[in-house]
Amino acid sequence: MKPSEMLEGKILEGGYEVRKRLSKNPDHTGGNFSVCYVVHKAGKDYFLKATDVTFHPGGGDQATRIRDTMTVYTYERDLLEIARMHAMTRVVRVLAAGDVPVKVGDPKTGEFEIAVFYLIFEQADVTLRDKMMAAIPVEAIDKLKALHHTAVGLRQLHSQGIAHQDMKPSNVVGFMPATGNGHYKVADLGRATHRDRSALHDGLTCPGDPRYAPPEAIYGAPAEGFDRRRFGADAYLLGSLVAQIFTGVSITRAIEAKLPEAHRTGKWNDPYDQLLPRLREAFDAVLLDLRPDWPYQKEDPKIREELELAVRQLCCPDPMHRGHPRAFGTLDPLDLNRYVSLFAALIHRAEIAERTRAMELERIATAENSTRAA
Amino acid sequence: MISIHRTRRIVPRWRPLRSRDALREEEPLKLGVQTPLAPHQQLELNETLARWKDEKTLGIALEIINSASFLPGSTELEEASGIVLLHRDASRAACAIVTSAKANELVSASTHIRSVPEIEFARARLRRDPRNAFAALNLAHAYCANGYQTKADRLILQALAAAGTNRTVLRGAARYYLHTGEHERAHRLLANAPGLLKDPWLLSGELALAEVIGRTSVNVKVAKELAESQSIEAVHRSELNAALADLQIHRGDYKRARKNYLTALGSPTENVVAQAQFLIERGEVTSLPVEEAMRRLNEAPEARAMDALMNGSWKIAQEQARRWLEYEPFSVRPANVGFTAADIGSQNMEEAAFFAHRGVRANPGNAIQHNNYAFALAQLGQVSDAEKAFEVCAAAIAKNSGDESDLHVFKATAGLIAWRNHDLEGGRRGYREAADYFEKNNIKLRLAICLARWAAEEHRSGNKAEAPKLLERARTTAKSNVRGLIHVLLDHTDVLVKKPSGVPTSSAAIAKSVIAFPSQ
Repeated sequence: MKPSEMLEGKILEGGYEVRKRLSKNPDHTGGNFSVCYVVHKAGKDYFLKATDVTFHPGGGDQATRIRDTMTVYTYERDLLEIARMHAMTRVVRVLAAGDVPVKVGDPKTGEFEIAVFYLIFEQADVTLRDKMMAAIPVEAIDKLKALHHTAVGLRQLHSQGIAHQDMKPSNVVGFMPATGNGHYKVADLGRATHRDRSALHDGLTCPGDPRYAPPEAIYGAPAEGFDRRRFGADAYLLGSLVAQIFTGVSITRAIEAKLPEAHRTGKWNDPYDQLLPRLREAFDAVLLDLRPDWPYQKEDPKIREELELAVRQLCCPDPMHRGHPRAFGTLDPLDLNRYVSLFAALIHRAEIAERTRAMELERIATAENSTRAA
Repeated sequence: MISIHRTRRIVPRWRPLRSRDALREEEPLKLGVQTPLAPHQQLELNETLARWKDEKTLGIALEIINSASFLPGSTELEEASGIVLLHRDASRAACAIVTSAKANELVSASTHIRSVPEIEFARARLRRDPRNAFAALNLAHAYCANGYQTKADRLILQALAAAGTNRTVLRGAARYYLHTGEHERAHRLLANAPGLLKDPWLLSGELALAEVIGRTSVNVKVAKELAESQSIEAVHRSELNAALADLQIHRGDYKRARKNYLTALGSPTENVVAQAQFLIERGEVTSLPVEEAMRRLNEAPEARAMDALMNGSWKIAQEQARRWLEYEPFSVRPANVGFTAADIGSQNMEEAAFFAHRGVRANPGNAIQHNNYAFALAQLGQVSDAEKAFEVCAAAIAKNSGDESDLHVFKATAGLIAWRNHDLEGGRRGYREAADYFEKNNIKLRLAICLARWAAEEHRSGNKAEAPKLLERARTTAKSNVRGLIHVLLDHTDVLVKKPSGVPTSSAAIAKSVIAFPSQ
């Protein structure tokens, strides 16, 4: 048993009581080499993520393992601290961070203490992944709200030089209060990186989940420069999320399905520029496939047009041409502000479309009633 | 008038996207290995699979489909695909992934009389994404196939600007410049390609194009090393081996050339098979396993069309020429092969007119194609259409511009049209003028064809005495130990001339002459 798996029942600094260990992968705020628990304080549940030196993924000597574990933990903690300091309202908040000694070994042969490092977050009610996997369909307007909140979260991170790099449905968490509107936040900075501080995983061509990652990352040809490489990946992941939330399929998978066998990941080992024109072709075909799945086609076709255009710009397989074309010449070519505004505008349009739909239904119902009465 | 190619080099192929996969030039030179998921990602996937056992919902099915690359051949993936197909709430995009279906792309509903679907299709794609180099290349291809060369030119530049280092774009552009006669430019494009020395596809094209412009590539040494490189799959080195072999043939080193061709045919492309077959026909290389190589390929329209043509299988030749034309509609070669098989072989003038029309459409500046079309239309009795199609040739005759031998081919066709217009003297004058020129300049093949056609027309107009004489003269001119296509034409004319007037030509007699045609 790892030390991190032995926290149940402990009272942590600040009065947090560690209760239930989350048995399955509790990826609400990241499952990168960690164990997760529910902690309790003052009648409220919180979420705890714990790690220790035994979670080192690679080999190396003990000193390296300790150093790397510490680096990973402190890096994420510091990024979360930046998020907290800058009041990033759409990034999940860290409430406490610290370490707790855990005794391991046999009492007869001798025990020793190992420090377990933890982070305590606000407890989310649901992840976007859970919502998408659930049998109950989500309203299109709620999907647009989730996208808006996610875009805001990413923009807030970007504004402080942080790239998330692992944006996927399981890393968007929802807070659904009993009263008032629910909201979503970006979670899991375990694969994030900061412009001015290199992370341990910076050397990886694909730091995020390869099932959702941008093609240049999964084909081992990341773009040059922090913005194009890291913020570009975030832009792609946001665009892919837009498609996935309405269709259930990630752009990465959809593109791959359009490619001939020899061009797929795992088969391709040539330079990326040899593949790029084919990817563009495949991506264009995917966007055509997506067309019937956009919401409010009947009530407001502009919503479909705008969403398709956003995905085309955000998920362009060429990282050097990703993002809004009007931002190309600016200092921040991958500025997400335009998309934040776009999603906000689309929510308004969707509200109008919903009203139009309701009125149409009412009209039909009235007509039916009058026919029946006659 | 037939014009089968007399030279051939292993120059790059240029095909539209859908038929390009058979070329295999876009496949990676080196194969990679799938990187597994990170432990926490694998955990997430395992959790999804565990949930799948309990609840087979659409949401979980989609999650599994998103992870398909990491679940090759799994039963869960199959089940999930089934759920997606059956579920009424499943998105069309998800169904498209599961069925590998293509979206029903709506192109602008152009009502223009000359609207071409391929052009509309490619234009729509390019409008959506102007940096789509393959769409630009495809549109250029479609324009070329329809004779709009100036428009194609701009698109080739657009494709090069968008993906100027891509092998397919470079080879396609080089083939385009070769088609437009800018041979130096075609060669320069490949010679300056950044990946030239590491890419056997680019290098083979560069070697062949250097030969076209009468030079020897400076990269022969590198090419030899790359052709032997075991780290690259054999199929990718096939054209390079063939290009090197062609160089060796030109230097007279037939032994090495044969060895290189044997290597190339071990895992060939259809271009290599066509080239090997061409060299065998020319007698430059012998005993190459071309037929075996051809059998191994799904698609080899050029080689199969030429093979069928040389073996007298006219129908197959026409079918394969049609397929070849689908891939390379801008080229006159498939049109010429199809036209020859239809005109000389099966005497099917409607088919001949189809091929000739495609030749004219793609190459409106090529007077010989206009001549072929006018000839086929005149043979079909559509004289006014033939006259219209012949306008370009008539203008060339009037201006006395162009190749003199070609001008006399046009004069013979002018004779045919006049004949079909009941102007017998005008018809005879045209044929006589052409025959005299070909005889004077010792152009035997064209003379024999001209005399055979003339004989057929004399017979049609009831001049039973003159027709056999002309035919005999044609036979004497075409006398050779090797049986060629001209002899098939002469046999057909012979059957026509010898049969009593009013009796239709026996198809059995034609078939017999086809069967009697020996393989060369």
